[in-house]
Formats: sequence, structure tokens, C-alpha cells
Amino acid sequence: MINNKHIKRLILPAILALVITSCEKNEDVPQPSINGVSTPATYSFERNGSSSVSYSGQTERLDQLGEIKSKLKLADAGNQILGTDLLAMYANTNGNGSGNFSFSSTKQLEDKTFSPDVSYFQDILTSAANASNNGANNITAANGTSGLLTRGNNNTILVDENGFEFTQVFEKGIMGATLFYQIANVYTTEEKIGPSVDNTALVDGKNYTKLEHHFDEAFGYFGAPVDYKANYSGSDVVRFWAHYAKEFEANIQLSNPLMNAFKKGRQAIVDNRRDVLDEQVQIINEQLDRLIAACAIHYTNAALNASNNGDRMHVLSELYAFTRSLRYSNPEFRKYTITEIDALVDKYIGTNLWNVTPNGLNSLKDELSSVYNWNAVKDIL
Amino acid sequence: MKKFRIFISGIVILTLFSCADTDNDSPKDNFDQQAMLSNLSENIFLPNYALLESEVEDFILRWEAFKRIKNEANFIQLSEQFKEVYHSYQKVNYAEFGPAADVSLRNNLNTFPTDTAAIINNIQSGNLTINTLGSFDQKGLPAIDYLLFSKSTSATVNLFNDAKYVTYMDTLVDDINYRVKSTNNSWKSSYAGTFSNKIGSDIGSSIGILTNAWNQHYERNYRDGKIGIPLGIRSLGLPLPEKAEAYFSGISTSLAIKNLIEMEALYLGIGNDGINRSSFDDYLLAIDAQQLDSRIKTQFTAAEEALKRIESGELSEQIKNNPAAVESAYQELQKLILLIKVEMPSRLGILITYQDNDGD
Repeated sequence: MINNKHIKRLILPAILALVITSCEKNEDVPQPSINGVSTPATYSFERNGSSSVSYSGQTERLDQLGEIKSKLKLADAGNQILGTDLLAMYANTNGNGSGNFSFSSTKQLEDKTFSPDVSYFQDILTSAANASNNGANNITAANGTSGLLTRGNNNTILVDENGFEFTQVFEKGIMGATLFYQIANVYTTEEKIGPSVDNTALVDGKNYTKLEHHFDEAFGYFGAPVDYKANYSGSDVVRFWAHYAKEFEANIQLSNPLMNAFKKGRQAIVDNRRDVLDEQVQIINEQLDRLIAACAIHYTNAALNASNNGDRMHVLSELYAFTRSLRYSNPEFRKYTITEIDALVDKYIGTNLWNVTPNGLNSLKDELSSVYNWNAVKDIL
Repeated sequence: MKKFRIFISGIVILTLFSCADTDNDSPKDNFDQQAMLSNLSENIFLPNYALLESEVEDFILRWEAFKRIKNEANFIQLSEQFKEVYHSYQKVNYAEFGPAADVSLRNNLNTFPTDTAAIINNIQSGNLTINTLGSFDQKGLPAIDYLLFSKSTSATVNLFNDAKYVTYMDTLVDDINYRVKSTNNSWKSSYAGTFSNKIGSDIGSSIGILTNAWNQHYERNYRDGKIGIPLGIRSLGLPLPEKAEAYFSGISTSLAIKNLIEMEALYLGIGNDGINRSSFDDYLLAIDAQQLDSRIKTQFTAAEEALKRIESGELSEQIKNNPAAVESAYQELQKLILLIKVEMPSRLGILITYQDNDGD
């Protein structure tokens, strides 16, 4: 007969070990890893006692996107806005969007947008300004007429004659064609972080190598504070893609995988571990793809459950822009080509949001859920 | 020994909590989840969908009969059968997942209040395109409720001498029939098996999916949709009785009571044969949560009794003439939410993760 005390002696350490090992990934401390590259607690790296991290250019572009959105929201509220202002902001004319930005910067969103799509976004801005005339005259939008729609929260939105809300189509569109595009197809590619990029010499007057800086720029486009993680309670604002990882954390746990991949990837650069860096780049690309798909799935559900035209066109516009953002995936990791995404959008959403059908949305949801492995949460996202 | 147990469970809780974002193991228990899921599937969902399908078919027969001979006797048969369909829908409306979600059964069958002006416009203009998102409020049971019950019997019978009304009604009936059949067939052919086999309590497990769908229905479509919104809960106390379910036939309260009884049957595992088998209550008992189980049962009874106090007369009338009693029923329904959305899922290790529409 085995004595209870013996069991205690055996079980307790075993349980404690289990607690420690099973939660390793979630601990907020640097984590050693089997392959020798640790994952730092935050996205902070130093050389000779001062920070070697820099992505101020990305932060400025995210700020610019925020201010363009604010301008578009004036039109949502029924004010007339000018196309020249919007285009100047997109191209950051004169370093301050022709006086429309609250800050000066040498950076711009337009020249970082997937170049074949620049005119698509310029058109959205020009059309928004034109339609704002209808909004200012308090014209209610309908199938075939641009104008305002009232949402369930009593705010209004400005939509085009096919129901597309300019603010959402532009903001979520740029999240895809600029922010995501730059991460997936610029700053995590061979050209920017491959073996031929200098990781020894410091850039003139800077505390970082070229390789380090390029990877930081990818991180900058993600929109997360350096100490971001699952169940984030810090005071820094979580923006754009990181914001959506946070928003859907209950159903899709991508905050930690993405943050850890950024942190570990950067550490791998410091440690000169190309193999580990490549692994993290793959995680970043694949999981960002899944995040975008989850956003699309969420908005199919939101559209199916919307109870008035304002809410419906709002969430359909987000659905459209998020689904379309999957065009900008890196060809090495993507599930769909650009043409395939365009065909998917065309087949299930179409060119007129007033004619979208529940059958189309359910089919789109089913397809994205299987392809990106979200079947378990597709109805609750 | 007791202290030791507490310590162990403390560690287990800690483990679960700290790893909450990677997996959500169900509480360690010997409860046979598969037996519960099979019971729900075999004795509740399959027979309920089959019943709804046969009630719809019966409605179609009576509609065909009425079309052949448009008299009051046939109309009464038709309108009585409509009420049967509406009541049998209350047996499945909380299960909007899997095959039902695939055809958006709830939105297509029961979006209310229905847009009466749009319906008349569709009828007059011959617009039979009711498959867009914007047409949920021009179709389904609420649209038929309007067409059959908004006028006197003789006036309604006369209305259907206009071929346009008949055509629109045909379209409504076909759409309901198609979606109900599709749901029932998917459950029968494959989903019942899928549902019974996805054990565990993770996101994506059948118990997780069911608990989320049930709560989402209870909160949004039941408490708010059936009682709260008509009462004025979402309009600063201004009553909106015309937003009640089945406003024109006036069977709102009867449907609400039926729905609550069906959700209680789900909780208890009572099948259409009246036999009580394994379900959530047994699960709670298996993990020593007798107290919670008895509080849930008590609250179901209290809510049913409160609803029965407003059963006489139409809900829209009760809201006008007897608002305190409706308010009290709403409060009893509200109390149940804490139990089934917070306490029960927490004891069973189920995460409530359904998301409402965002407000940005």
C-alpha cells in the first residue's frame, strides 16, 4: 500500500514542473529556446547601452493614416471635404499634407502603397470628396445614390452609389496595400533582410545595422507597442493590425504568436541566426494572413447580423476591404494569388453592396474558414 | 488531506488560467460528454428539425388548398397551421450554428419587425428578389404574419384574389421550405455525427459552440428581441410594442413561453418523447455543482411563471396596459443570463467568445 505522503512527494514536483513548462510561452520573461535564440520580454534591443531599435518612419505613416481617417470621418458626419486635401495628405505634399496634417514628416503613404493600386486609392479619395457634397445636402444613400446612412449608434456614414463606405474602404484598404504589403513583400523579403544585407557595420550615425533596421520597419507597420502581448493591459495605443489581433483575441489567439515571432526574429538577427530568422519570417507572414482572414470572417458574421442599412454597409465595406487585403500576401506563403482573391471578392461580394446575398456571405465564410483553418470559430468570430 | 486537495486544485486552476490562451481543458471529470451530445443530437435537434420541416410541409398543403378554394374555412386552417410552424420554430431557434448558420436560418425565417411598406412595394412592383441582406425584413415568418393577420379574415381572403399577393406568398413559402429542408437534411446526413463527436470544451467543441449560440440567442434574440425591445429597454423606456415578434397574429407571449420551455428542455436534456436524458444539468451534477444546477432550474421556473402572468392578451397590449408585469418578466429573464452565460460556462470551462457587432 502506497503512503499518501509518498504520492505527495512525487506528484507535487511533477505538477509544478508541468505548470512551469506548460506555460513557458506565456511567461513575461526572456525565454531561452532549444535552438539557442531567446524571445525577449519586449521588442527592445540595445547596443552599447542605448536602443538599437528605430521605426519612427512607420509610426509617422500610421499617424498619417489616422489623420486621413479623421478627415474622411468629417464627411461621414455630413461635412463637405476637398479632394485636393485628401490627395495631398495621401502623398504628404510639402511635408505636412499641404497643411492638413498636425505634424511634419518626410514620409508618405502613397509611395509605399503597392504601386499598381495607388490610383485605386486616389479614386476613393476623390470620390469621397465628390460624394461629400451629397452628404452635406443631407441626401440619404440608396442603391444607385451616394449619400449618408444612419447607423444603429445614430452616427452617420458616407457611402458611394454602390454602398461602399469611403472611410472603411480607404483605411482597411491601406492596411492591406501599404501596411501589410510593406511587411510581407518588402521588409521581410530577401532584398531587405536576406543574407546579402549588412548585419555587421552600423549605418552612418546610427546605432543599428541595415538588417536590424529593416526588420524594425516591418515591426513598425504592425501597430503594436513594444510590450504588446495577449490580454494587453498597457497604456500604449494598439493600432491597425495589432488592434485586430487584440480585438479577436478571445477567438483567435494570434497576439502572442505574432509578437513572439517579431521579438525572436529580431533577436535572431542580433545572434546572427539566419535559420531562426527564416522561421520567424514564415510565422509572421502566415499568421498575418490568418489574422486578415479572421477579420473577413468576423465581418461576414457582422454583415449577416446587421439590422439596418447603415450598420450593414459599414461592415460590408470592412468585409470587402479586408478580403481584398489578402491580395498583398507574400507569394511564398500565400493561399491565393491576386487574381484568385479578386475573383473571390467578385463572386461572393460583387461590385454593389446593396445586392450582397446571405448565401454569398456564407459561402465566402466557409471558404476562408477552411483555407485559413478557422472552422472552429467561423460562426462566433 | 483536505489542504492538499485545495493546494492541488489551486495549481490546476493556476495552470488553466495561465495557459488560457493556448488551450482550455475542460475540468477534470468523468462526465460522458459524448453521451450528452448524442442525446441532444438524437433526441432534441434531429426530431426538432424534423418536426419543423413537417409543420412547414403541412403549412404548404394548407396554402395549396387555400389557393384552390379561397374561403374563410380554408383560411382559418392556414392561419392556425402558421401558428404551429411559428411555435415549432421556437424549438430550434437557439441552435443557430452548423447547418442552420450555413443558410442563415434565423435571419431568413425570423427577422422582425418586418418592413410592411417594403413588402407592399415588393408585391405591387413584382419584386421577388428577396435573397439580399437588406431583404431579411421582407420575408420569413414575420412577413407571413403580416400578410395573414394584419386585416380582418374576410379582407385577407379577398386580398389573395390579387395574383400578386399569391405570387409573393409563394416566394416566401418556397424560401422557408428550402432553408428548413436544407438544415434538416444536413443534420441528418452528416452534422449529427460531427456534433456528437466533437467533445471537449475548447473553442470549436460542440459544447462550446452550443453554449455560445444558445447564449447569443438568449441575450440578443430572446431577452432583447422578444421582450426587452418592445418594452422599451433599448429606447430609454419608450415602449415600442410594434416591434414584438408575431405582432399581427398576437402570439408573441405564447412564442416566448414556448421558447423558454424549449431552452429549459435543452438544459435538462428532455427529448420530444418527454424522457429526461443527459445534458447540462447532469454535467453540472457530475462536477459537484448541485447548487448552481438548482439555481438555474429555479430561475427557469421563475421566468416561466413571470411570463405566464402576461400570457392573457397580446404582448403589445400588456406593454401598454400592464407594463410592470412585463418589466418583471424581463427582470426574471435577465437573472437567468448571469447563470447560463457566466456561472455555468465558468464551471464547465467553456469560454463565451461570441462577438457582437463592433461600434467603431
